[in-house]
Amino acid sequence: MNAPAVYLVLPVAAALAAYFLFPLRPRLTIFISTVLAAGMAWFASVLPLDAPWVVLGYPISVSGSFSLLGRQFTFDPSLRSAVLFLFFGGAALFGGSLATPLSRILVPVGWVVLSLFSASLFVQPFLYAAFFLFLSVLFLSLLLSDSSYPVPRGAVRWISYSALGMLFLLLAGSELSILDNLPTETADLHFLLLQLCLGFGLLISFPPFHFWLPEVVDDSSPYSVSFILSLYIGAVIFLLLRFLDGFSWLRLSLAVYTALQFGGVGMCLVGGVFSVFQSRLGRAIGYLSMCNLGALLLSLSVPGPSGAQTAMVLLAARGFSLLVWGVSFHSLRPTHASDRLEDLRGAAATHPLAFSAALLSGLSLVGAPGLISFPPLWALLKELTSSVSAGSLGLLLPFSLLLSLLAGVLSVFRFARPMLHFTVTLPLSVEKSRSLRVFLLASIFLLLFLGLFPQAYLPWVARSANAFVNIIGAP
Amino acid sequence: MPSEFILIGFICLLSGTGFLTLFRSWTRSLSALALQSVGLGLVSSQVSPLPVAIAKTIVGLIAVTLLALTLSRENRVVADEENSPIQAFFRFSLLLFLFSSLVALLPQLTGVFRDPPAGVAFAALSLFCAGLLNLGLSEHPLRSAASLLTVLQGFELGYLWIEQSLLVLALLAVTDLAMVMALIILHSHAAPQTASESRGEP
Repeated sequence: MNAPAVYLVLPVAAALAAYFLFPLRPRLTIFISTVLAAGMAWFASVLPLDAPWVVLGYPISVSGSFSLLGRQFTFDPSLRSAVLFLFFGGAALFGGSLATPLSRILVPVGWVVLSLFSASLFVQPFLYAAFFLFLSVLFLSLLLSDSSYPVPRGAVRWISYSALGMLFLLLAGSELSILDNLPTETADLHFLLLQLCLGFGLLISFPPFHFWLPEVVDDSSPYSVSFILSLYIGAVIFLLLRFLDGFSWLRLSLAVYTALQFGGVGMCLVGGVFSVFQSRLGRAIGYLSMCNLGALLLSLSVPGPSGAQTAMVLLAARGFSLLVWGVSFHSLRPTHASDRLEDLRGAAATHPLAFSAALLSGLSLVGAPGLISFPPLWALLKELTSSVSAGSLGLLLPFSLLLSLLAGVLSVFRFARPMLHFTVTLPLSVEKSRSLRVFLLASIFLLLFLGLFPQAYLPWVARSANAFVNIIGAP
Repeated sequence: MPSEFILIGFICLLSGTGFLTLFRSWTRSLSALALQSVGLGLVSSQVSPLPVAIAKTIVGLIAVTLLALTLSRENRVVADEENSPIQAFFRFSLLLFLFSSLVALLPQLTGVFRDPPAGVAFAALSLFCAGLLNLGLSEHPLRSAASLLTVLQGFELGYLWIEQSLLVLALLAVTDLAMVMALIILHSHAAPQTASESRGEP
């Protein structure tokens, strides 16, 4: 058995099966996909690599790599936690789709994207991961526009930015291979850093490359947007971490950490300021997710294992918050309905659970106390306020985090006020769908429970940073 | 490959790129894109084996065919954009500015692709920059597909000088076609709206 081939081929087969099974048994298809993705996540953590695997007394040899057109695809043991992370995230997103209007292409696209993410992890040299990330963008963009959401402007912009991001990363990769992975000239180093900053900036929608985000949030299914903002951004962050892990000169270069600090501060400030002035709930949450991404970049700007571990925990908390937001926002703003401030009046009376879940997930994205993102954010604040890691931007780093938190709370409060406007004409009711009620109640419970008792998830999520052996081993 | 063919390739490539920017009618735009793809193949034969150059042309022509099929299926409800003389003049000025800037900055810019032959570098950068220019001039999904294809073709031409791995070449070809297909699908979702917009309906 070939381990990387299993993770590349099986998801594609599952995508085909899901596409054809969906019209017959939609809920069963989603359920099977959820279980299979979770199973593959678990399998990644226990699969013996380059050693026999004994099943019912019969040894099966498991190969850890294969060659395709002269390049290796290798399932390195250090990648276990990354594969587990992505497939578990995929399983959660498949499961969450049961609580939203069912879409025929969501699950197949999700499977293909999981296969492409796996390829981006396995391909050697890993610089070619940029190809697979761009291909995943092309597939994910199909979720952003359909007959219900016919305006593809945001998706077109996203594809354009991602294509350019891929090109810059490929250029940086070729530059690295020519310089034998170690630039000696300062000019070479600066040119490389510029290419990497542009490449990743375009991929993670660093301002001013974020203009696709408000368009997409306005014109697409909220659940698809949450799928992209959680899973895709997760894969890009994994690639960024692999760059840091793979090149010691990059890891030891102060300029890289300064760039990450500037990136983090920029995203926190832009996201925070823009979120306060939005009149549409979707856009506000889009900007709050940008604040969250800023916090992620700030955590990566902390050298050593603590930064990578905090980033992993923030990534997991971000994924969960966005998943909850996607489902609750779907309920608050059904297809074609407006999510403008004035049109949401009384929404808390008609959709109390969705309102509560949307409120909490929005607050969780900016790390409000008592919610799932707060423990890693608190750890990050402590790191940033220590004189060692403050770097050239000093107190601006924790200040920008606090500002984004404040702006997030203010923004959520602005939207909560009209929603809480109860009138006699709007009778109190509860969400009609049972699966939606169960999902929202469970989500609200988990957002609070994991925020109050972070020890339930922090250690094992932080362990996924072990994939980056050089970072974790760094002093 | 004889140098005459490469010269013809340069002429095809640059004229295709120029016409793609100037024309707003779909028939002419697609012809320009096809011309550009043929030119790309001829120019890239200078830095890569002939089969690779032929493959590049074929990928470009497949993309053009996909776009043409989409347009013919919709009976061209995706109306040709308005192209008043002042707009054409504006695009022509931009193009002129772009090409003259590239000529002036070429010695500094060839370093991006690790100093390929000057002609290849100029052709690659022309495609890349003209594609970006077109991307900024229209947000229509099919025009974006043509523009992004131009950007990618420019990059591929320069990248051929650096990287000749079969997997990378295959992935670039897959990327080109997948990008065009994705934008065609996105356009097909938006087509009714685009049609009503073109008829001036609210």
